[in-house]
Amino acid sequence: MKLIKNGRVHIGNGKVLENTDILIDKDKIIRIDKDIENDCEIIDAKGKDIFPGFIDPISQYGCIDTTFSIKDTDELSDPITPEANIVYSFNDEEIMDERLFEVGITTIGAAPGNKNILGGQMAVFSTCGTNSLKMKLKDKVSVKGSASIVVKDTYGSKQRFPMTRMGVFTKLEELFETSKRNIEKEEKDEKQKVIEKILNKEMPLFMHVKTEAEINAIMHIAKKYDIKLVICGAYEAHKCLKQIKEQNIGVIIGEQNFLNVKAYRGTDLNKISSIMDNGNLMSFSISTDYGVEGKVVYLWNAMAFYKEGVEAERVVEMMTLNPAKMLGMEDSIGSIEVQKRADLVIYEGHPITHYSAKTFMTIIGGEIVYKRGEQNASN
Amino acid sequence: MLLIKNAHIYTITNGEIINGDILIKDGKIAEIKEEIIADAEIIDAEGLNVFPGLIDCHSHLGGMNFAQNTAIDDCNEMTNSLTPQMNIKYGTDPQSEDFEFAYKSGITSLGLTPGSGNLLCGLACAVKTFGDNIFDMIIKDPFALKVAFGGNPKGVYAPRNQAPYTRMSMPTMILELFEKAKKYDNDKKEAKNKNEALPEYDAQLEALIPVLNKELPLKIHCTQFDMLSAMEVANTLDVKYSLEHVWGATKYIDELIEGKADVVFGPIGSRKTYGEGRIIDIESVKTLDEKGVLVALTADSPIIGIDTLIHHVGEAVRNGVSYDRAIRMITINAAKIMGLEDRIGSIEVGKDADIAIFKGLPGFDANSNAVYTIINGKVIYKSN
Repeated sequence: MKLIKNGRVHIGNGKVLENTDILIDKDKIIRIDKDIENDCEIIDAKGKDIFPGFIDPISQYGCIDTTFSIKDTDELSDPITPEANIVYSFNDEEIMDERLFEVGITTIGAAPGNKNILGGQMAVFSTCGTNSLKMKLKDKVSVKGSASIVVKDTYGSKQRFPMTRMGVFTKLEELFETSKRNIEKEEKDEKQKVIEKILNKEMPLFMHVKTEAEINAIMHIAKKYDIKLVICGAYEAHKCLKQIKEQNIGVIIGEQNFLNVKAYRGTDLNKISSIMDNGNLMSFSISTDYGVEGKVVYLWNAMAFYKEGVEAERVVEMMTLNPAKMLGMEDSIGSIEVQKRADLVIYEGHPITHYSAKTFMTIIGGEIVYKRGEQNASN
Repeated sequence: MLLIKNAHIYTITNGEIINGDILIKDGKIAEIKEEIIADAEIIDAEGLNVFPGLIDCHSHLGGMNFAQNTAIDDCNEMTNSLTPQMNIKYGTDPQSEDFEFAYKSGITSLGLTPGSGNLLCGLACAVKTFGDNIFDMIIKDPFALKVAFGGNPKGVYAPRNQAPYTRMSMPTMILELFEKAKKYDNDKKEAKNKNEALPEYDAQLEALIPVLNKELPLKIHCTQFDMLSAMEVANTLDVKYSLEHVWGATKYIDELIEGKADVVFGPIGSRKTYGEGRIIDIESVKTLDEKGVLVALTADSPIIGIDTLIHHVGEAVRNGVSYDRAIRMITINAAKIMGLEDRIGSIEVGKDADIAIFKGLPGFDANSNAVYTIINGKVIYKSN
């Protein structure tokens, strides 16, 4: 058992508890209270800030290697591969190179890339470990697709379908329409089975869309087929607020610094964050159009929301409970609550409000995987 | 005249003035005092922090643009690996919205530089970030000759079966061209002495002469062990230089000190990859600064947003650099590296009135914002 004493506990749902203790047994949080007494390993968190482990809900870490030679995220034999499963691409050795947990990222939604209209099924992985299977928290949590320019750049440039935005969305509509009509059929292929799960809301659809036109088009299709939709990238989502709220669309804002995309798109982070008041789920990612940025950029993206006027605790929700809910994992991760997994990060200082904040310790599944200044278990 | 009142002034070179005034006249800083009375337009800076305009001395703004789906690159003339005569001012589009992002972030001067696709890439110019005509924005042309070691020139020319195919050939290629330039310069001088016809004008070699005369420093792209090659070449030529990017500096602190290198570190934030991207050690700037190396920071924009220059200061702070030292890395240190410390980089009487007024402390408070940006004494940006 481990007892974290006297920390400022950010629950993950917007609430903060001062001078509070957290008791951990094996991989679970078993008690949260003041003045817990226990004769076990004590971690002194006086004056420190404790957060639920941060979650990046769409990430290619683990599924692309550092030399860029292995890219197991886009099955380019066909633009429609919902049956593909990211689980078979996730390599613990590759994600460990980046040491995401050093900034407090403890979980990712491992996702296919942005090149296929329907790219494959997502899974949830822990960011630290030595065994891909043991790091897997949940399989087949959603289907990842893309309707952004990346798709037509990929296929159109090779004179293959789709070459246009028209092609991308028409194909999507056709897929859902066909699958809907085939539900009663006895013989079904794997593509049909997965698309049915989207249609019956067993799995949400995560779609990479960047412009206002793309966002409106995918929302139109989601409405027509009553699909649970999360939009990713979503750089112009602030222009589509009304519809996003009406359809309760989840939003994952893509990485904002690479190639200066946020500035060019004029993403209004404060405005888009207002959807949380409506009950929409909102998060962000260090995934760019074409890959992923480094771990420190995760903090820069969090700071950007705060800088534009979003309250720090709101931003914490975007990094913890909101992405957990998007991934259907809110029963086990995303907040500091009894019976949840002990995925925690302890900071000296508040990483959203001040650059001077430093990670003191990261705990994943009850194990200390990082302590500043020490070589530790994770190596 | 413009009078900034009641400001917390970070002069950079003469400490802080907790509550002071700055008088601006004819585009220059005319007076800095606890209280100035003058018949001037007044900016009340009560509760705000006043800095010299921020500087990124290594930038490609206006020369590269990713705003459109078809990216523009006008800073790499990759038809010949040795193009020292190329001048970035002709590759820069001042209409690029990136300049607006820069001054809205309090960044008032940039060292615009050609990219790193060539071994000798071309001439770098220092500019102010506001203006319609690049030739009016220039403050020093050129301020350095850009050189690139390592993977970038190799990546361009090796697939064409041209040199440089490997790192092995790079120093020789550079040294040989400089040898030619020396001879060319001598021939010119001798022809003048003897009143004979000058050798035929050679733009490529002309660009190298100011470097040999120590009037123009080299600005050398290098990381890890490439910084050793870079310093060896610069020291062989006995010329002034700065090292750019400098990822992996931690291992070469002694050599950097001994080589009297100026260091422009950054950008940071990309994921760990192979080769040059294997190590990005912002923590090295702490040791370098403590040991007396002149260190500036760069965002290498627009590869990442120009406003991340402030994130770079923040990460230096996170890694133990004191705020006062870190902010120098995007003000006076950057000015010194461009040889412009007499004009920009600090709040001193007689310097250009380039001033950024912030709410909070940029690079310390995550929600710090530029409230006013002043260039050459004119308010060019005011936040609502």
